[in-house]
Amino acid sequence: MSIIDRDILTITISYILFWLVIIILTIYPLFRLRKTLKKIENFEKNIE
Amino acid sequence: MALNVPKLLKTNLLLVISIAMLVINLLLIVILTSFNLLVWKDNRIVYIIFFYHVSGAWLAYFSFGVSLLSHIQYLRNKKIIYSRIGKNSIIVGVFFTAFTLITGSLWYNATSASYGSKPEDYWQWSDPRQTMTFVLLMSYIAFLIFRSLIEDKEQKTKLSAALGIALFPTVPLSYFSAIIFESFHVLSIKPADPGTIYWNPLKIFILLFNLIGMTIFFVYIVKQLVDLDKKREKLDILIQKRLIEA
Repeated sequence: MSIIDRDILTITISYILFWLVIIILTIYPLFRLRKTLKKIENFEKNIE
Repeated sequence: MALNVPKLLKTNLLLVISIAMLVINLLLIVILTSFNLLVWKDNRIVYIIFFYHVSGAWLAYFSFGVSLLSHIQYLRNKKIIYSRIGKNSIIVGVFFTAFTLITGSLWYNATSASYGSKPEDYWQWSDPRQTMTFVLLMSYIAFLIFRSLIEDKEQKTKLSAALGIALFPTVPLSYFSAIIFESFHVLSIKPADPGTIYWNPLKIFILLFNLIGMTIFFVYIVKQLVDLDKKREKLDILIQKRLIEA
């Protein structure tokens, strides 16, 4: 593999990894929050 | 169910701003690099890894700094919000420390031949910055494990605040290790050379733009994680209430 190809591969891996971290950190709290709110709603309905 | 776009934008404004900044930054890097407007050492484009590597390191150090201040505030005021901010900052910090370590290793691997090391090397235990950052990562992962093991809520917040403060010296140690000791890290090799990364206004602008975008992202994520903790606490109270009733 030429140096330029290796450089491009290294950068691509790094940049994909960066956006993966951003996506995980964005999506995780949103999904967990939605799930928790649903559970709370169900509990409150049951208590009523 | 119809999506309420204005409401979504309003509640996630910080996320929208930070993602827009990061995307603009990415486009800037790609366009400037493809037109050869960003010139690097030996004309190697691998050096554009610098923008994300340094931004990741900045966010990691910043997160641990915020966690230190929050834990100190918690011990002074006993307000649970500070404990939550402290813990969640550490979660974000751990992610970005791991990211920084991985990109640092990839960068080192791509350029190791110019340091006289074996090509294909990813890791040098003899490098103080790399090793100390690894210690930093392990310390804060241990913090999160420790915190999750304690069941009593008051003990959990108190002990984790103390541990969060006690672990903070690993942050300046990681940063200064490359300055005090001999290191392969770019900063310590030629810190004042006008040809290096730190003295190009265009590169500095792109880096600062990225840093601002990532800091806004950090504020948004910690706010979201704190909200999540609040709701989980509410759910716990409801479950306990239900158990008592049963």
